[in-house]
Amino acid sequence: MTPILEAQGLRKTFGGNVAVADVSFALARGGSLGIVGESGSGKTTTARMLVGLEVPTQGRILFDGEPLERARSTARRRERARGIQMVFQDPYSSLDRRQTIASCLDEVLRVHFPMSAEQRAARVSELADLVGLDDRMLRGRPGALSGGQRQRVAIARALAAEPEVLILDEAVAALDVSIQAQVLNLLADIRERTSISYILISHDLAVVRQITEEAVVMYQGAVVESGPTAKILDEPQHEYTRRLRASVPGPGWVPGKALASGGAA
Amino acid sequence: MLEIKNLRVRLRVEGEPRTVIHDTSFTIGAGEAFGLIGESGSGKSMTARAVARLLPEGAECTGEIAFAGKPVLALKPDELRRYRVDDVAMIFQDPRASINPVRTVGDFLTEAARTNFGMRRREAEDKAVALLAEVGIADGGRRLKQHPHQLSGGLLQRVMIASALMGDPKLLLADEPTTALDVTTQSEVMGILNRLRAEHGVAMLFITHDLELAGAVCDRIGVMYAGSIVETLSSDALHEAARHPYTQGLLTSRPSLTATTRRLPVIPGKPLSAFEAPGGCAFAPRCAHVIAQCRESGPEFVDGVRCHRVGELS
Ligand SMILES: Nc1ncnc2c1ncn2[C@@H]1O[C@H](COP(=O)(O)OP(=O)(O)OP(=O)(O)O)[C@@H](O)[C@H]1O
Ligand SMILES: Nc1ncnc2c1ncn2[C@@H]1O[C@H](COP(=O)(O)OP(=O)(O)OP(=O)(O)O)[C@@H](O)[C@H]1O
Ligand SMILES: [Mg+2]
Ligand SMILES: [Mg+2]
Repeated sequence: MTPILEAQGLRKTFGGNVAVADVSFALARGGSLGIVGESGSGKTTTARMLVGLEVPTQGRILFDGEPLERARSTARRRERARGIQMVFQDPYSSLDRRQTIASCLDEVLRVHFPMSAEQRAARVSELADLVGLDDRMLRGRPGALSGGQRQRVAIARALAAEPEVLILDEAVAALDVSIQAQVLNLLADIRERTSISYILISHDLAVVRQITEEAVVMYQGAVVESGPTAKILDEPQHEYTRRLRASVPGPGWVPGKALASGGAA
Repeated sequence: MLEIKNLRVRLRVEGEPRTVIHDTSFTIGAGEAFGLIGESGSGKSMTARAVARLLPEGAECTGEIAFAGKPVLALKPDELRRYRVDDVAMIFQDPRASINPVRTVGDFLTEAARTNFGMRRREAEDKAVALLAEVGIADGGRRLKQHPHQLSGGLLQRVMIASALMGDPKLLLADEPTTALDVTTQSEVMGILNRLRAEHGVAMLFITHDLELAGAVCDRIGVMYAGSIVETLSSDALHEAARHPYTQGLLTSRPSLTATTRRLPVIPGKPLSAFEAPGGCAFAPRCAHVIAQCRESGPEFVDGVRCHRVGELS
């Protein structure tokens, strides 16, 4: 079957600096792919290219087998825009500070679906409920929310569009473990019910293990290892992956032991 | 070094007061790390902000906060300035929301050192580059000329850490300082913070969602729920001896690095903020062990835990 999303030889430079050197992967329809790796190795930049926020310097992106830039008609482009949603690493900067949470979710529904105001209101509360937000938060603005609350708003907003591919960039990092568990279960439920696919960018290897089957490891702008998530975590091959695996805090962990080399680009 | 007693914080939201911290007490000694974990919205960031006197406008703060014996809440403007310059530094949870996007990283890092310590630009920049190298950013000279949007999440977070270390603080308020870092870099950064504690006696308030990390880095841990600390325990005891049902729930919700389950165990229901909490024990609506007494009266904080049933359950 054609992968729902495929990256082929992606490269991105800013000025003379290489942010992404060479990234390829394929995401199966209904699949879930983890991207882990060094801070500054190009994970967010890769995701931004996938959703069309950055133009690749080289390489191409296929959505359902078709190159992204080839979507000519407006309707088709809009369909694409709805089809790939991203939850950003920094929820605050991606939310409009003047807009209430409810109107932010409502807007997404209005843009994408022919629904009446009542239908939208009902769907807004349903979405809020899914991620554990209550009515008070819906009426508030992003400024009055804690870090984890903002992150949940961002997840609800992305789900509102009913995407085919959901890219989560460190989207569960700011959540405490009990809410995180609820959100991870929710993501699993949605995947069971629909054919949605996920790309999960995360520094939390246990979270990656829990909700992805395949993973790629990025280091200095390139994919250095890829394969089944369990295999990568249990039998890491690349030297960087091994160091990553050895740095996870746990019993007997000594900070500063697994020394990293400097950032990429 | 830091002593907090019966801290209570109320914020104004659209005119109405809202309690977000409700009776929180703890102490942190020199060289000690105190971890604060707990539910989203439970008031962890507000606790740190109260200590730095950086609460949102209109906030009311009562109780006692003493830094090296000084009453922080009673500091006059010039004393408060010195306190922020000499004594305490904060690493904010959301670096992108707390940094000015139009100024360069270099200006951000060196400004305080130049205005408060009369450092020359060159000198301040050298110090900044050295600190960036310590947190794993090798090309600091180039980074100083960049703007925040040109940095990845983890790079920016490390810039914030470097900035907090520019002034040689005695108390570090670190609000989820490593969530945007890969575990290898995290390990390196925690190594530096540990060294500061061991060699310079820096005290640290460490807010995190990562229970394993809290256990490995901190001496003691406070677990917050709906604006109060419901349990304090020594880090060694986190796994074996957690007594509060909420702490136990947190420990079992965590996904595992070596196995997957179809569904993660969760604490049912939604997290609450202090002002939404019902009378009685704030955790009662979500607790598996709830009895009538829990809904009627709020338990006192006794012997490290705030739970009516702790005697029977642990
Ligand atoms: N708009 C930009 N202009 C210049 N450089 C940029 C820009 N965006 C990203 N970079 C650089 O590209 C590199 C990769 O950044 P990216 O945000 O993709 O990393 P990341 O893997 O997501 O890291 P993290 O885990 O820290 O979030 C970094 O060196 C970053 O400074
Ligand atoms: N500027 C503000 N005005 C009004 N209420 C606020 C403001 N900032 C935070 N709050 C509320 O105060 C409560 C405590 O927030 P705080 O940021 O301390 O939570 P937290 O424990 O740090 O959570 P998280 O883990 O999600 O960061 C929350 O209910 C939040 O909605
Ligand atoms: Mg990133
Ligand atoms: Mg917080």
